[in-house]
Amino acid sequence: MRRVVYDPLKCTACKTCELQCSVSHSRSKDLLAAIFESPPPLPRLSVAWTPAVNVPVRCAHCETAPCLLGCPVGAIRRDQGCDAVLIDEDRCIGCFSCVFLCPYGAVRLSFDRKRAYKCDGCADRIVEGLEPACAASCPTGALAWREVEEAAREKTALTAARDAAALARGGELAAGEGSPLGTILKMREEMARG
Amino acid sequence: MDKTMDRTAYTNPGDIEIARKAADETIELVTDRLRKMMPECGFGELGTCCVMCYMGPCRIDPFGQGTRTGVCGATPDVIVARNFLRSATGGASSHAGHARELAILLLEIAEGKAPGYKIREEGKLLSLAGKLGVPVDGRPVNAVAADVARKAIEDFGRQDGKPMNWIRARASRTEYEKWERLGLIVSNPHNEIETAMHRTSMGNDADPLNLWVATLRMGMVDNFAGLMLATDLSDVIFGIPTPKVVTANYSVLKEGEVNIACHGHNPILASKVAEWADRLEGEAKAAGAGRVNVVGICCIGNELVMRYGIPYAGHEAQTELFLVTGAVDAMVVDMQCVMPSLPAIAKCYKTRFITTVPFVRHPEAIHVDFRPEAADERAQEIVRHAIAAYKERKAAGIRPRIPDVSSKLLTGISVESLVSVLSAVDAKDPLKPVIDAIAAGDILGAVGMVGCPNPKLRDGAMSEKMAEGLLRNNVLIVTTGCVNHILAQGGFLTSAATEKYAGPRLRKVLTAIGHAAGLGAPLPPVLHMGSCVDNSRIYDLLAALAGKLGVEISRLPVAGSAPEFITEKAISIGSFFLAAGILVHLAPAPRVFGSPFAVSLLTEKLPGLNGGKVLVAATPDAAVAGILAHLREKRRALGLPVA
Repeated sequence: MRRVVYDPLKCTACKTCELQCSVSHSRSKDLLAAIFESPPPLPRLSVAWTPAVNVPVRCAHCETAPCLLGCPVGAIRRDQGCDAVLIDEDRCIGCFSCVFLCPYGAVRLSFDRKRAYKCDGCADRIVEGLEPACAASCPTGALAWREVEEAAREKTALTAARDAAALARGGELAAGEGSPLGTILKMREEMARG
Repeated sequence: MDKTMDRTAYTNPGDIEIARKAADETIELVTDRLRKMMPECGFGELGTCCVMCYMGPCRIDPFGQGTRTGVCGATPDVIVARNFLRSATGGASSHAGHARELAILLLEIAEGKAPGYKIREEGKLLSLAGKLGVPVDGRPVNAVAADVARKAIEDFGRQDGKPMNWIRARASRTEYEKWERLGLIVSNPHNEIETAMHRTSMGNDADPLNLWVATLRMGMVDNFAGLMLATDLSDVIFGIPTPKVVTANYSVLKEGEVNIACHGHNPILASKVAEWADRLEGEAKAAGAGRVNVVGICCIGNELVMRYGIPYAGHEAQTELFLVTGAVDAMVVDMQCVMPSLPAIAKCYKTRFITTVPFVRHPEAIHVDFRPEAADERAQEIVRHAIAAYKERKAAGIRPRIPDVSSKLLTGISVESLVSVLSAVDAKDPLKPVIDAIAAGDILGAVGMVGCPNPKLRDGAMSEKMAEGLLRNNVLIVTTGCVNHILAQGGFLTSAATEKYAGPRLRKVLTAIGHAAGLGAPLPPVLHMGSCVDNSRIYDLLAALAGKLGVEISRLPVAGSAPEFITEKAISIGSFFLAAGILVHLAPAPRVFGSPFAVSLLTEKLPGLNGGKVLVAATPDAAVAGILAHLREKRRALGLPVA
């Protein structure tokens, strides 16, 4: 099972994922033309920011999806082919139950505010053998298209290595340190503290 | 995005052979890094990334839903205009620096402080002196040269607000008056550069129009304090180019010889390296080599081939590949377009990578402090480095692989040499045959194809396909810069190319001129006018044609194209051609699309103001179609036939 997995220590909030998401969902598929399209091809994920960490908020395509379970008209379904939770725009009545049910806040409003609007798992790209646009364009690998089990194993191994290192150094190595963004994150903590 | 498998009929087999060698030897090339970089930052591409202050960095949402201004309140129109002006400033600084070095050298020659150099073109010096108002009668050449140099240097320190000497001396009256009306006459290039950096820093100019006018003024700096000054003084010191047929492509490297590849821009260094390569042949022989073989890469290749017929190796995007041949003993660089990746590759093949300019250094390079006063000693030191490297290379058993690919090119087309070629057709009025051919429609128009070899467009053979499309439609092409390396390797600078590519009407004209000039074959359909600073030659040629017709340059059926540009220098050159009222085709897209103001100015408003216009087209077909439509529109306005 492949998903776009996220590494919180790698996101620089450059918003390339948002931009490339828009381009790949535009009619022209070309940035220089897409910016003139109407309605604008809105991004289907959004980079949120806290003083400690940047989070590209994106539909997790949950196995037990609250949006799907809660949709009163059955406009949300799981597509078995590309293993994604999809909104049927023609059926959507714009009640926005899904917007509030989503534990991530990953469902937004369409440009005309009449329908729910979210990540479609880049179904078209997957069919062509491409990775989802956000993961394919991420310059640091904060978003990556990976086997979930493999990513989980790696994460387990990293946790073990980190704890071992922390023990060896008397616990002086904090979680965020040593990452390329350690300095930026530290600075933001200071700023948040005022 | 994997373009490695794309092949066109124009692909240089040498590039493929050496790229495979690089892959086998796990050498990373510019094309590999480009592939990893994709997609590149969209905010940067649109010009709406601002890093001018530390409330940012800021980026504007091009889809209008998120951030609409920077933290300071700068709109995308302001951000794009500031970024673009800064890149034009980078380009103009490069050219002004290049020209200023030559002005200082001319003064040193005149004062006897640079014994390695002399004045080769007294005629051109005297003609410049006349235009600058420097007295010549009965004065020694050196005294005139010193005054001409002082006129150039004076511009760089001028604080009286008066127009630059070089503009007053070298712009035609019609053009000068147009620029005066538009507020584009500049006084001091250094002040202009300083003001541009100042006005674009945090909390200054927030008027997009005012910023774009500054960009056009930066174009004027680029041409008159950079390109034209550099070409004029290089011709005086190193000679006016004359026509000659030379060999291009990988086979100019010679196994069994000491190969020195000169890379960069200013002939001050490379001319001396070439001279000492010949004079130290004995030492090369003692090292077991046949001789010292100097070849030119990038624009120094253009400078050397135009004047001395020195073998014409390749363009900037091939620099890494030339090192991977393993046949280069020394790569000697001065400034501009020297990729930082080169020294590490050089090391793999025992090539000595030699920097010579104090502000172009690399921790892994050998640095030889080259100064004109000590030119002969330093040039010998450089050539001896190469001879020593040859011995090391042989001892280490490095086996070079030199692809067996070559082509010929006719080069050396200065305005002076073109006029003398055309004199063979009409001695009294040399430009008349060209003007008659344009008027009749045998030559539909002329396009200057200039600039760099961008790996983004190289695999698609953008330049070659555009040239082919234009020639088929009877458009004459003049070239400068690395684009000429591309076209030379593609065989476009030969009489055979006229037969192969030129439309029937253009072929007829070129055949007539070629035979009248005693070539015994047609004139090539692509004329090589020099390096990137020699875009001033193209401008001089246009000025001569416009003067002859009694019209502004902006009314001529001509266009400029930088079909694969890379550097900021292309931005500043393009800005000058816009100031001169000429259509400028650009690919890749310039970073202006995030600004509706810029797009409307460059494509709709400016054409009405002075004729300047930007055409963005990233495919050869679209570029050719856009340029042809423009040429026909200009012809219609002049009442000339368009078919």
